[in-house]
Amino acid sequence: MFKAGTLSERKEKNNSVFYIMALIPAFAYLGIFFIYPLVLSVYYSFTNISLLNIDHYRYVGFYNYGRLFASSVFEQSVIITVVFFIFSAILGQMVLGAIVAYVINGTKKIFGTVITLVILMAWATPQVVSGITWYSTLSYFPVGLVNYIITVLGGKPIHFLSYHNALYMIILSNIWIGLGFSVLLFSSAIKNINPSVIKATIVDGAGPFSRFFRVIFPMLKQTILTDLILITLWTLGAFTVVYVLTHGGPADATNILTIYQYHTAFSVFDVGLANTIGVMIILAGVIMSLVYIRVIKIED
Amino acid sequence: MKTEDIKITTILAYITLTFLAFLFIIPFVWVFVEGFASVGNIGFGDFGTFTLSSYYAIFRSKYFVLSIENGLIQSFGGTAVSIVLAIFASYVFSRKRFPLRNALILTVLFFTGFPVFSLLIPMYVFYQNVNLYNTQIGVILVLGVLNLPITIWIMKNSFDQIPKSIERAAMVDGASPYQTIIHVFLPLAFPTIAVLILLDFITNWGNFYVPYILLSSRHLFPIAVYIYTYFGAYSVKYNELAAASVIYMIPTLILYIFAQKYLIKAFSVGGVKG
Repeated sequence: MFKAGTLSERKEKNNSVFYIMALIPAFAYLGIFFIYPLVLSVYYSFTNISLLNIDHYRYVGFYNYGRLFASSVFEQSVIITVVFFIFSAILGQMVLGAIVAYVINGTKKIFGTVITLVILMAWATPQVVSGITWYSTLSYFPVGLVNYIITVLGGKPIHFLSYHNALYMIILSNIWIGLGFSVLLFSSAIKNINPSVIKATIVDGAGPFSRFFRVIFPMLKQTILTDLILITLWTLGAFTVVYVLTHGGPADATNILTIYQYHTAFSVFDVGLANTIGVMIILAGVIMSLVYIRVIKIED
Repeated sequence: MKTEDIKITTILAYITLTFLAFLFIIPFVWVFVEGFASVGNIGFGDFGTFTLSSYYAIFRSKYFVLSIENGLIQSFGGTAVSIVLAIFASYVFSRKRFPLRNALILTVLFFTGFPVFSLLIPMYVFYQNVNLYNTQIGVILVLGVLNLPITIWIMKNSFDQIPKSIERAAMVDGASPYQTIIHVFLPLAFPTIAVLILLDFITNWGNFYVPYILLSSRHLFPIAVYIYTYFGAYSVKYNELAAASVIYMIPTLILYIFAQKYLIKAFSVGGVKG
């Protein structure tokens, strides 16, 4: 008995070496390629590092932060990002996604599957191609698909990507990309709601709208939280489609924070300031996620 | 009267959804039509005759074929790194209780939804300093690390479903933890791992900004960057651009139809349970 005990003890000890060895590669890797750049990002935001000379830079304190907060471009970029976020992520993806999922739930299964697949196609499309497809759809000159239809119907072509319209267009394209994911998420959550609850509300005479907002929406707390966090972080980090479609223009009209950060680093070479913008984006993501978790309390 | 109301709303539901699906297809129309056009224009005025010549032309282009190769190397490379490292880490998280475990799990969860774009600029400077800038392996390592957190998270949840008794039986038979992973966990969790490989691959294949920021040589560009530079070029042959876009997106769309069913399970982050 005693001997068996020491044997398994020794074995357990060998095993713990294995467990540590199994964890180290993953975390060393995360440490070097994820946490280290994150630390660098904060560090560089306090320096005057420039792409013209990445080896020589010095500590400048909060200089970049002061410059950023005084900058009207930054202020405009924040406003654009907030508008982009509220209309494309919150309203266009989450709220619309929940409604579409609810409507799909009331239709035949095969029909619902086909619709979900079509909507999800946009999500699956590589974003460079999404940018190109939207460009080809909205282009003014050469005439894109929508303007072609307008002209054929006898209307005047619209300059969709002009200074005044471009922001609406990137909102539209981001809804197009992200809606499928929210629909999928809410569809599976709505399916899991006990059908007798829904039947009871029908018997009680609740119309489809009050049924949706009074009964079903509150039952989806966990899904709403998951969806909110993911679409917030994705929208804050959205880059490719806007970059391909408008490049942040015309005249900074669609200059969301990621585009602003990119241009600050690679057009102005001001890596210090670019990292300050990066820190702002990261902070915004973290703070918003924490607020969501606080506001939508989940009973576990 | 009540039932009639319900009938009308149901019909309305079908009409609205069909209309919505129709709207979603509109942006795809041009790429699919233009790819078969003989005249390279972005408009809808004149497509010329129906032809496969643009598909033929892009496959004769050395850089396009190379970019598909690069795209495959970088996407599979990144996927392999994430999956292999995730298997071992997930096993430990799923089966062992140790100090710092919860802290490490929360770190992983936090990184799952991190706005990673912002890390690419410090990464660029870091890569210049360590000579990883403009290398395939550099891109692979970043793609791998971006997918690692979510891969660990989903795989841990799937390992949690494997009954302890099966594992114990293997241990009694004298299997080491390593053997247990290879002979017990991998076969049992295979469906999830297969879906994870699909999802990681699709994510890497679609990623544009990592190779765009970290590469500068044309012969290393994956297809995402190739198509973008082609789109931004001075004189674009739009029919070839459209054909290239179709070739680029087809694999993802097909893989998605397979993975779609599992996608939701993958993203059901749920609570942080013991």
